[in-house]
Amino acid sequence: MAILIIVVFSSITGCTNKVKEPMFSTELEYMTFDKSVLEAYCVVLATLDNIDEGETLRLYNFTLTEVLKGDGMPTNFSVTEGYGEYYVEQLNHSYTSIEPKYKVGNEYLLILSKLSSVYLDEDEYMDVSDVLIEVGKNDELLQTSMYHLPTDLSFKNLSELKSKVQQNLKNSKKIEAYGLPFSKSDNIDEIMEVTQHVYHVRIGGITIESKKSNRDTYLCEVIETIKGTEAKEIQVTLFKETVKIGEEYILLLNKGENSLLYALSSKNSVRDIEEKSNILSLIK
Amino acid sequence: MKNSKIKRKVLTIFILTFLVSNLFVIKGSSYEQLDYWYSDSSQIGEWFSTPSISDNKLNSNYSFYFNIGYDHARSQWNSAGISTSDTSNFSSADIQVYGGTYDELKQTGEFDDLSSSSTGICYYDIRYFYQYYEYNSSIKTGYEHVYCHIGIKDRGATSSEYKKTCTHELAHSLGWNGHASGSSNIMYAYSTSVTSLTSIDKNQLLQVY
Repeated sequence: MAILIIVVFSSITGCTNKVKEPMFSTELEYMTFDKSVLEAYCVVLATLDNIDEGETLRLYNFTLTEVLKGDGMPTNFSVTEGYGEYYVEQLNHSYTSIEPKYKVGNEYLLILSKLSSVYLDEDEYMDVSDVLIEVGKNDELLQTSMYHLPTDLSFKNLSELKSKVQQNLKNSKKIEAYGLPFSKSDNIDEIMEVTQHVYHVRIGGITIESKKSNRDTYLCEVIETIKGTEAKEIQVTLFKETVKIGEEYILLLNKGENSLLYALSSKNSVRDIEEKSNILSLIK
Repeated sequence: MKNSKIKRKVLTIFILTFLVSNLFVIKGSSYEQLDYWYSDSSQIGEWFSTPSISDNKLNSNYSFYFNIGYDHARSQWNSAGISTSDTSNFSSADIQVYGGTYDELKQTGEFDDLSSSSTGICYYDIRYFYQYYEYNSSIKTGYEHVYCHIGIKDRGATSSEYKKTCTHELAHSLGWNGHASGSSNIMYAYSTSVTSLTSIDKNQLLQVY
């Protein structure tokens, strides 16, 4: 009787286990299935092994079955999803990602973008248009949806879908991963090969303090431009607590066209000023 | 026999304590009444003091009308009666507004969940529940906003589109949860050419400020 009272009262007051709430609200540009395939970095078939529910992100951990589009896909990869509210322009439709949309053990067709960044330990894959195509054991398509709306994609079975995707991809341009070039090497020669800009700097203050990630963006006074565009000061994103304000360093960097942010060309691109002459010799 | 009597007493005290401690959330209590409800969400937010706000454009693309959008957004809400205080000290601002390409926004580390097809995003970074409201017998949840950050993606749009996106995302950070129906409203969820706040946009928030 006591338990019944507690359960009833909890449901009245809402004092049940805390429900995850959306952490952000975002508007999405709508893309058709065909356009999603053309603009994605990769289109793959994969089986969901498990789901990691983090504080701020969910990771769907997949094992690759087949690649329809994309280079160098690892056998095991994760698809990132935040806990948010999504509003799809042109569809007059909204949904949340509070509950996972994939089920462990099932196989899906995934249409993904890729971000490859020096600041990430692993490449980041994300859904391009929240396509959900569940694949059955006998060439069947068990469910198809986009943006959490059931969508008739007019494919009778998996073979037909694969054939249509491959037809669409003929003569289409290769889509690169997001992110600036960087080297995974520890070797300074190899790092220099992918480095556009080299500056001797004095670290100023933090201009963007990231409260969620492993990096902050600093304003730096340029003492000398060793390679690349002449500058008097630069904004550069550095791993947290790897530099001291007021100290001097040699930074090996890359930058997007028109961007005001410089990025490291490798995880080892913050060099002591004692290395300056060696770095100069590599450039010449 | 004696043990079971003690157990019953302890359980009764526990239940009574639990009930009393949650009395303020029992449905049927009287909550502050709202005059309007235009949102598809059941939540609404508020800043208890004028928030500081700062913008940070991450590129020098002359055709990325981010600054125009930012200034327009602040002007719209200031004129409506909900002010923000502009500061050049970006890192200490209560509302931080970033403008950049997908790569640039991602590089800051503040947009891990940003999808490549997002046009704008508002994060409710720090907010606290503070009271319930009631509108037409429906309970709404009120939050105090403490820190938000916004991302406006450089997507080759027109200045009008950036005005709309910035005003819309700033509304979310000021407490406008969810969206309005009606394409003439800034808080309509989907793409329009509207750049000015309507009475629906304003009244939803003004009633709690």
